[in-house]
Amino acid sequence: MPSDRRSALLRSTLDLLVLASLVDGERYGYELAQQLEAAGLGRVKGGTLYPLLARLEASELVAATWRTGEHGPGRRYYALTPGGREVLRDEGRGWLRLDDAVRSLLTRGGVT
Amino acid sequence: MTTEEYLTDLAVQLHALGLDQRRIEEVLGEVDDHLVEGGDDPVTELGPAREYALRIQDAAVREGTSDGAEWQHWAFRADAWAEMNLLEHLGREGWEVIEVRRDAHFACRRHAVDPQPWAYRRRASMRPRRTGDEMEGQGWVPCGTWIVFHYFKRPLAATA
Repeated sequence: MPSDRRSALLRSTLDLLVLASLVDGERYGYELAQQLEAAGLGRVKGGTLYPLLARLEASELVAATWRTGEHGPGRRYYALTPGGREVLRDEGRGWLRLDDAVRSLLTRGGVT
Repeated sequence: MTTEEYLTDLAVQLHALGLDQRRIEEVLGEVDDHLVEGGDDPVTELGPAREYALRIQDAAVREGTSDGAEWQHWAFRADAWAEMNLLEHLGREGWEVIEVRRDAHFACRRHAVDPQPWAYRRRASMRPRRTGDEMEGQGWVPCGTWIVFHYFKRPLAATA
């Protein structure tokens, strides 16, 4: 089903999309969710986003800093690590190559 | 369910899974901040507290290789009131304690492909050698000490 395919595609690329969203600087969770939504990816729920961020942190692809602030008890800010930048570059290239191949076949199949 | 009720439930679930106090506070703070900004219903946005806590715990499990095998690694902190319940639960899930560090920090591993269930016993003793000999005579293997608490493990199959 189309919605299942879209959701599976998003699941398989969400880690790279989160890493890419951190290239310009650190973000907190809700900010990332909004950024992903504004990019046209739809609403990524907290129940998906935060466990993913925790996995990226455990893999040392992002580093988290807890800051107490004016907005409430505190916020957790995420920043890309050098390892995260490397994974983004390498796996992102792999994804773009796949995207090229998929586009080429779909275009040949008459999809516009 | 209100945000306050959800956060209370989530705190209990995270504690039961052995996350340390600082991490629990950060998880709760992050969730609270997210729910305040989005104005969403907590269960709709995050799922039931137990499932959310399990996803957060699962995210901290590291994959690694040792002895030529694929292992998952997980460390948690517990106390003398909670740790045996937690060890019983984690042991059934295939987690083997490989070290008990200072401050009741339990380092565990689990085979990624073929996890074996483990059983645990705790003995409080000022005579660790004698206690160790007694337990080893029954097939228990020492896996760590915290203050006067000595922890032993053996495959659950040997206990049943």
